[in-house]
Amino acid sequence: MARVLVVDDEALIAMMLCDLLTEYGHETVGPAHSESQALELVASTPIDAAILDVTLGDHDCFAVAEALGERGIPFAFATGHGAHAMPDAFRERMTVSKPFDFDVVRKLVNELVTSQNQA
Amino acid sequence: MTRPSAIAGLLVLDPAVARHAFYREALAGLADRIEFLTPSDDIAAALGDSQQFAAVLVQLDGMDGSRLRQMGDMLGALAGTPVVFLSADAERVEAITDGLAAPFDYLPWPVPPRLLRAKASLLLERARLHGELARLSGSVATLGSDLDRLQATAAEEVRRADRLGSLASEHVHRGKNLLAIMQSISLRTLSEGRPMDEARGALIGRLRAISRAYQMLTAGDGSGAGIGEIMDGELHEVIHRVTTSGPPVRLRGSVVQTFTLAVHELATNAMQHGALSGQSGTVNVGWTLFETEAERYLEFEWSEQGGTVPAVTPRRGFGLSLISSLAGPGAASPNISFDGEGFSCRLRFPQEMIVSE
Repeated sequence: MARVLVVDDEALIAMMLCDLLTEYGHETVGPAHSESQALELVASTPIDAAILDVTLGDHDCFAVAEALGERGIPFAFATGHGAHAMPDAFRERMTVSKPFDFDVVRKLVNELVTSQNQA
Repeated sequence: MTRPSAIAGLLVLDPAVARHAFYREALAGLADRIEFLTPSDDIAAALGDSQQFAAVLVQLDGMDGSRLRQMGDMLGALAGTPVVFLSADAERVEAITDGLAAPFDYLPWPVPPRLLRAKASLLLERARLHGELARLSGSVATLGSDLDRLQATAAEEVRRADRLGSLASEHVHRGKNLLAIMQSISLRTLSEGRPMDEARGALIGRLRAISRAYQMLTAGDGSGAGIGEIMDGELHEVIHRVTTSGPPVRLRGSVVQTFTLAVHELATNAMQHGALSGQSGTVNVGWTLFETEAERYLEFEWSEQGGTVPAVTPRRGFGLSLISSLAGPGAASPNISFDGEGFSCRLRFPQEMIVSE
């Protein structure tokens, strides 16, 4: 079981990700609906992995991604945009597109948690 | 700006009409038209229109001193049309060209006809080239301004295409988000363990609420929707038993769909199990904006009166999950109670969920 942070400004989408993570046997952190909520959780809470919505209201999630990267916490993006919209620094990161393919989400979470254990 | 394309005329000024035949023969077929004037004709008028002539030939022999001075004054008005002086006396030419602005030349008189013809031919060719040059400069200027216009149009088209491109990608993004929201609602609704026909009704009602929220968002600029507008949409079926009160406040776009669905759930629950399930119950819905120096937040309250109070506190349903999720992590949990009067809940929206009205 891992502690997975969920960041999405749409509460309903965050709720679905939390439901799926619970179903896959993980504990969810958050969900955070804004950049500031997410940064606060990253700074204050033990986290093993994270799934980030790229667009957070007027912000994007890249400051949160950097904070996670600095701490060596594996993360993936959830996005309704294509991978081409990603900045170069994050283009190699795993991405799951909306609406979700639940099998893809399950594999993605497994990979995140496995890479965290290896680190 | 454009001169007549063929400036093929010659003007000959000679006081002796008898010599006119000589010029006519020497210059035969060279110019489209040759005009002859003597000093007694209206020379000033002819010179005033000198642009139509390629050159003016002026015979000085036979003019007395005052005529010469008069002629000198009149030629002084010429700007660009070249003058060819004819005279046996070079000094007469010297005197009259003092202060002449136009280009000039001199042929000693008597002049061999072929020499006069060659000179006139050169000047006609010069005029033709001048005309051509003026015409081309005009075309170049027109082309230049055409080009400027084309560049401006092209730049505007590029900007328009960029705007359309980002609008299109924004719509694709919104559409995918909407599908993910519907996916979330379907997943929840089908996981509640209800009989299929009941789940079907719940799912349709929830999708319709989301569709109303989406409609509100896309009808405006997508930045948000007013609480009053959301209440009107979700409570219109039961509005005779619900009182709503609160200031005009807009909720941020990302909150609108969740909040709309939460209100839909509260209303549905009230109709199925709460105050609106019986004949006499009512609902009060109110919201208040609090602004202090430190923070700005919105308090929303839903309270039911006079309904049947459930014997057992119902399990935490979809509506309450939505209400809780709106409060955000770490925020005070929504205040929920089932007291003697009926169900009530109070929720605080943090500042970042409100946009200025």
